Amino acid sequence: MLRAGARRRAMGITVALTLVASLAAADSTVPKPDLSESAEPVRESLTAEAARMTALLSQTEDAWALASGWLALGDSYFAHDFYAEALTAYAAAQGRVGEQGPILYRVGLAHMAEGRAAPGVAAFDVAISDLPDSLRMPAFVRRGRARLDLGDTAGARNDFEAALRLAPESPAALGGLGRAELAAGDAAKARDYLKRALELDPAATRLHQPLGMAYRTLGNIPAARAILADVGDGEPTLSDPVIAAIAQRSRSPQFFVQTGLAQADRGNFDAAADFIGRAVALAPDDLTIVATHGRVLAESGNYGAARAAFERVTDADAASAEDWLYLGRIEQAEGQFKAAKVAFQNAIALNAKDSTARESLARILLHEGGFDEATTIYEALASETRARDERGRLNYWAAVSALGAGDCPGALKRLSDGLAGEPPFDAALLQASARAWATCPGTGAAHLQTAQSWSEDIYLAAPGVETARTLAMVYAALDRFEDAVDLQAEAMFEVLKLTGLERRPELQADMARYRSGQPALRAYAATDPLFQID
Amino acid sequence: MRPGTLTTVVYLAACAAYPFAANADWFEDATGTAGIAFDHVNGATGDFWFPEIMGGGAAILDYDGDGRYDVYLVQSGDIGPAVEKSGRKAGDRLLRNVTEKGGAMRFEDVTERARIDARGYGQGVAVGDYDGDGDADIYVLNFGPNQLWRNNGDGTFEDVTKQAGVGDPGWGVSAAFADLDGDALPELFVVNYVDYQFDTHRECRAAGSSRRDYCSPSVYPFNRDTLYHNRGDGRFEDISEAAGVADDPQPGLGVVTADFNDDGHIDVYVANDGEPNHFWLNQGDLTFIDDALLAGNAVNAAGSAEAGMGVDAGDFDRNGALDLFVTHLVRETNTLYANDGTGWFSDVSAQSGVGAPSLPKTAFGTAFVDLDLDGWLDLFVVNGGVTIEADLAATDDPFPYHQTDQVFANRQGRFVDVTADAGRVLTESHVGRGAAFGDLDNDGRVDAVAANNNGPAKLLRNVAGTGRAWLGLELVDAEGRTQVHAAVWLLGDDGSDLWLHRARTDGSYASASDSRVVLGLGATAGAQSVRVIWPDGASERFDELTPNRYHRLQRGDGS
Repeated sequence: MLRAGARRRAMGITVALTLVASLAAADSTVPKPDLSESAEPVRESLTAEAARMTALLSQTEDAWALASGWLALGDSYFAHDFYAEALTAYAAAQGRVGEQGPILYRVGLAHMAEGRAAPGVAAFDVAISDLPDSLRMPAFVRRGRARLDLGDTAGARNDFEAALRLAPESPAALGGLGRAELAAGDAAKARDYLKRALELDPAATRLHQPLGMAYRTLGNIPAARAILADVGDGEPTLSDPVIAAIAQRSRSPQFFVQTGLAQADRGNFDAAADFIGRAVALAPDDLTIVATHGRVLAESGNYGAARAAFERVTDADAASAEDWLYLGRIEQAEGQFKAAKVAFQNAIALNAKDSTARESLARILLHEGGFDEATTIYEALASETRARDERGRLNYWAAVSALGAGDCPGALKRLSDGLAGEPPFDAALLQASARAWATCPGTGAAHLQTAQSWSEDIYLAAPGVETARTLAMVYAALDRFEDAVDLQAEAMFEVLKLTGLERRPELQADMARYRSGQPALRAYAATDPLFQID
Repeated sequence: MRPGTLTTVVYLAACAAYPFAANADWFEDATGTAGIAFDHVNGATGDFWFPEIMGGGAAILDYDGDGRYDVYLVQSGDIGPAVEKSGRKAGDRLLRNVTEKGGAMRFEDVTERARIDARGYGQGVAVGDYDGDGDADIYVLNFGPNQLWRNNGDGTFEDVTKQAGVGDPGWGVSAAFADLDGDALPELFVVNYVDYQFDTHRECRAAGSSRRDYCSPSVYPFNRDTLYHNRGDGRFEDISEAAGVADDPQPGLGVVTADFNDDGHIDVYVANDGEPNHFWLNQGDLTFIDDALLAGNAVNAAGSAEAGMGVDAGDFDRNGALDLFVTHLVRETNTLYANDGTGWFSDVSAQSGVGAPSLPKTAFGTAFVDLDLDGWLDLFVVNGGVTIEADLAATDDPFPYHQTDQVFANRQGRFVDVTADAGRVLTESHVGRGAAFGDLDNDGRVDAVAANNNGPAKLLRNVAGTGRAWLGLELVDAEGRTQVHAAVWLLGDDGSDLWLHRARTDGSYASASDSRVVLGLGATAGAQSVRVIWPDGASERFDELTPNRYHRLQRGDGS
């Protein structure tokens, strides 16, 4: 990595001398950070690295060998966030072989990691002309970002343009240039660069903010609102061999966990599982990491490995509510509903407020036909939530659960709560209301007319099994049995085509009632697909 | 506010053109000489209960109406599941300002005499005249139910939390009193943090270490904020849901209220910790719409949601619109959002000079204040970590979170970090949290009270701007009641608007500030004219105001 015969450049003298002068003693003294609180693999690794460097110092006078040793030690310290010690090691490397772009690039990275933009830029200034293209590109991007932090818009623009010349399709360079153009006041250019960056890297959701601001400046408010609605934490992809090499030196389980979780945030669950698997290998007894591995494995669809991870955690009685929740989801996904129910109950036992676990349990209960218990859970969740939309959704489930239990008064109250807010309402809520009015005793004419209007609109908008069935219920309640029979036949034909009628006995039962001039008895039977878990 | 001033800010080269020589010091430590001996206790015993690391607030208010502004300090105390049941804690303190005219600042503890008995696990404080009787009431935010202390007008207070219905049980840190419906009585906006319970406490570790440390808010469910509507009969009604502010719970820490888009309604800006900020635009009917993303003040220019702690609003660039400054975590910049005059903001942290110097600090309390009386709003920021500072931990520091505070001088729209020259007191490091600002010795220079977590409260006497002229203004309505949210334009000789300051008590972090306005006049020494814009938008001119003293400007007395 180090190149012999590097010439001293005038612009680099200040930085280099400052580093070497301030760390003059570093060349013979190996810096050793306080590792007393570090994770065991980190402590072992860094202690060994420092000992290796100490031994190297006593074994050779070869400048390049020593510089390489210092560089490796610096990278190891950097990988574990010991930036001051890393800088000392890099300075010692520089003291042996003079200015080298790759060393100064690392110095810049360490300063930036510590939040020191100005010395970071100074180091990059010297480094950049002495780097191979594979490093110059990320160096330009990093210096550009640092210059943006320092308010040097023109300098930042130059850097991002230079990076683009080296990598014309780099989302990081395009995104940076877009930000620089926006800061410079050219919203049209900013928009174009940022849009291109997002085309290349749709996961770079941080760029939604500057793109939204560019649209805003250009007066395109709908586009601004649309893009800003999805602002996220995704950084544009930047290929950086130095950072990759430093990461390879990490022995911190936490590093691999964080890297894995960052991959998971981008939706790369396989990569996430790989990274966190490395953390598990470094800290096999850390059950928190094992559980995290299980979660990511579950997200990646590797249920078998995920189950194994969670079983380790639960066997050790170390599972959190969240772990039980994941395990329950795995069981549910594999059709093990009884085991899923136990897992969700365990999650709730550990955290009685866990709304996700409670709702998951209610879902299982619906599947089992435990409507009363499910209704109680949904009602409690609806009363606890402070978000209007969420309350509407939970009221809907409480209502259909009550209807499943044949509890018309309870269902009508929940549906009434759900309809008390501001329209527009969710079609599912309207459909449930129509069915309730059509099947519950004592429904007035006005409600039946409303039910007819809603269910006809919904059917026309989306003809299908359930919308036809709802309309059939309403027609039957209005004594329009011929229409009800026609629609019920349509629903049954669709089911016959898809799955066969044997799993939907309620369709045949309702048809028999319509043919004999009777309305439907239940809005939702226990066999209704609404209550089934696929 | 002047509408539609779309002047592009031109950041002038800082020092070369600056017409005033800076003083050597900006602040001196007056804590001891003023008789302030308050140590905040966070009760930490190694369990890392989350609220331990967040508290510490202060208020500057004239509770007894004697024209000398007093100090209220929020105490936390012991914490933990066992302590919850044991009852009494150390309690907040009210310090009465007994400074003689022209003398050194002095305070005496009048907590018991004033019948203040605030013994919750305190986090912050807000001040406002909720009952419109002309004196300042105190709202204390706790980890646990908050408390409203009604000022009886005779030097005593009464706990009216229950009657008023404002004992929000969430973990509140900051709050603001603001008249959001134009009925001359302030609503109460309470910013809540996370839903933290001892039985769901999580163990967290310092980065890359096995050392226990405080968690990030992201490991707990977020709490929604609470908006209390002032019914005018001494009672409030929780209208959070109907108002729309409950729709998006986030971990809020700081709040500032002002009419940011010049539509005649007071808006609410909330700094959220690690999540996009809220910019609740007042629709005029006690409903609010969060438009932070389009307004450009939800996340920084890089698209990153930062760890918002403290916040303030002020017109730093003199374009007639209120800008926002939000303080953040280490390795994040403090962020300055410039308002273009329409309520649309841009992140100008880098260009303005406040960004890079703030990267090494975790910042909390803050304010736009013209510290050196040159007519430009400077920034004061108190700092203190929320996670272990590795270099302090390496020295076996028992509470390795402390940092030094910072002063940024506004040089014609560009900020310069002058901390190194701001006085020896700025070399001390503490775990800074709340900061209240006010002119405690009535010398026209706004002082600061820093409420440090698990450490001493500090009174920083402002000694900057010596020899410069100033104009102090107390803005009151026709009935003599303090008018926060009024704004003042200093007028030029030709009657043109020069620069704008606003009256407020909110902003900063967990703190409340002096409601008066101090306009720095630089070298200008003659009688001044101002234009006051009252909270309902009406405008009134006051002339022949003698510099270097306070004036009480009563609505209806101007022209």
